[in-house]
Amino acid sequence: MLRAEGISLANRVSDLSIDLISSDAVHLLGPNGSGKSSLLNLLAGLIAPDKGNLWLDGRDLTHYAPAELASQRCLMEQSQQSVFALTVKESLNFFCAERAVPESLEQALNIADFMQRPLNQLSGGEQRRVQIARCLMQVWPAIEQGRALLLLDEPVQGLDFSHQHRLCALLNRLTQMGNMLVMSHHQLNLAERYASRIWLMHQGQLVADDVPEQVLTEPLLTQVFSCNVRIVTDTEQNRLIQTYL
Amino acid sequence: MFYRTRLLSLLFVILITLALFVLLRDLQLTDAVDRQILLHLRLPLVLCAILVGASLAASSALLQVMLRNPLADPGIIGITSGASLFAAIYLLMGGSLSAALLQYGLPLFSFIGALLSTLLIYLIARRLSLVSGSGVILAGIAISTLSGGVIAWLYFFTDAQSLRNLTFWLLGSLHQASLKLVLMATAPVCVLLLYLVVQGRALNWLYLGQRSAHLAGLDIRRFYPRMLLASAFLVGVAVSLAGSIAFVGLLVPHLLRNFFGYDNRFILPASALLGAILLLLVILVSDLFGGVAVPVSMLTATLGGPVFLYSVVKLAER
Repeated sequence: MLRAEGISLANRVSDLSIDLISSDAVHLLGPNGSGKSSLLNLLAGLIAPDKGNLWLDGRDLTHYAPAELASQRCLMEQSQQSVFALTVKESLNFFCAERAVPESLEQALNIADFMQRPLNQLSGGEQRRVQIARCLMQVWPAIEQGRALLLLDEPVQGLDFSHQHRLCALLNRLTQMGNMLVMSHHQLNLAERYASRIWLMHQGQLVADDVPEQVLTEPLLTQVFSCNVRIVTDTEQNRLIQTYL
Repeated sequence: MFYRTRLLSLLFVILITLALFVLLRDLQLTDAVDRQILLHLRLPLVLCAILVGASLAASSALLQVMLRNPLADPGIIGITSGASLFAAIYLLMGGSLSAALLQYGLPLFSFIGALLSTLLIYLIARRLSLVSGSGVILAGIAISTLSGGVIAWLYFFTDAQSLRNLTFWLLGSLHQASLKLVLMATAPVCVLLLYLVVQGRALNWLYLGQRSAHLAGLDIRRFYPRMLLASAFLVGVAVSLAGSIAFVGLLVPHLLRNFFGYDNRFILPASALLGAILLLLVILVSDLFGGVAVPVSMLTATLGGPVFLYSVVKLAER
């Protein structure tokens, strides 16, 4: 379990308190610059808050040794470039103790075909899939034990919609094993379909923390994103969210 | 992994064979004069080549990953020039000092110069939040240029003998260190090299930047200064033993990555071994010129230049 109490960071996150419990699949939404990445960095222990405290499984996050934390939580950052022409296989081996790609991961991400290719020659979406695989494989033993904290910053960016759905479905299977997930993105329909909870951020503050039906409402989204939002229901009673100016 | 262990063993065998060959070539161990040559000329020369080559190549391999710039080499990021500046100050200001002071003072001063310039580069890198490899390279070029400028000023205020000493020293030579000095350097260099070459796993994480390494479990705040200090020490020793030697640091890791990939658990020890082998080869080539002391940098640059160009093109095609 992860708990944050009154955490603040410069002008990016202000006085935010949250609880994340086992099996939570939280989708983090909010406009550009609303503080989503900063919040993920804070939750990952990558940066310390100016104010407030964070606890992971009842222990102050700052008391974890980097290696201990790394075995349990992973953070996939938005951009990752290397000046060195590492191959996909090398980049996975270096970070994942030479583990083979687990089958469930391969089924969702399909990276086997470009294992020998240099990372920086892949398309944006392919690079993103490798990045997700590396991030999850780093904590794979903890994932299998259902005690991992998975933090993903815009993992679906650049992914075609087939892979977007496969990834979200995989992540939901992992959370059902007891793992905790927080992922940020801008796909309202993915959040509607796959999130167990949604955190909606605006100007560094958490303006909503609830199930999708409560957060994904026309007035709230219109207000936060300064964009028109219409929610329609299809013949199978699925809610579809449309946005327009 | 298995073939890499075999490859490391092979490099080690080549190194030992080459070292013994350079040591014992044309010598009769039954002859007293030959034994003196072996002990006071060949042994310091061979040890010096091994220590300097291994130190420069291994610390460059390390710096390239830490600064996230494949161009990083002690020469390019200004460590060597800092050492040269201090050596120049010593040679030119202390021209009247005795031979004994020259023998120990010069290495000491260049060592201090290497440490100080590394510290300066580290402070600049930290100011640039350690993310900008090119910022560090630019700062290194600035430090090199500044040192060059100051050395040029020093030329104005010096006598002919000191000038000759300095010019020769700046070109680099494996012949100038005494047995005593080389033996003094051997133990700390070996310990530090061993320490560096086992950091491969942590260094692999740094390929994708410091944040990734931190997320993967590396304590960056401790690791960084430790590694920089270790490489500054090694470069300091190398420069103080042999003056400034161009290109070994840039060439060796590039060549290895080109053919064997990026795993630092292999690249670091292999760089140390190949760096040492390269300088032993330089001794052999330089002997072809029949007793004329050919500046090492001249050879490393002319031999290394084409190989390096080939390696750069290959790497770009990878």
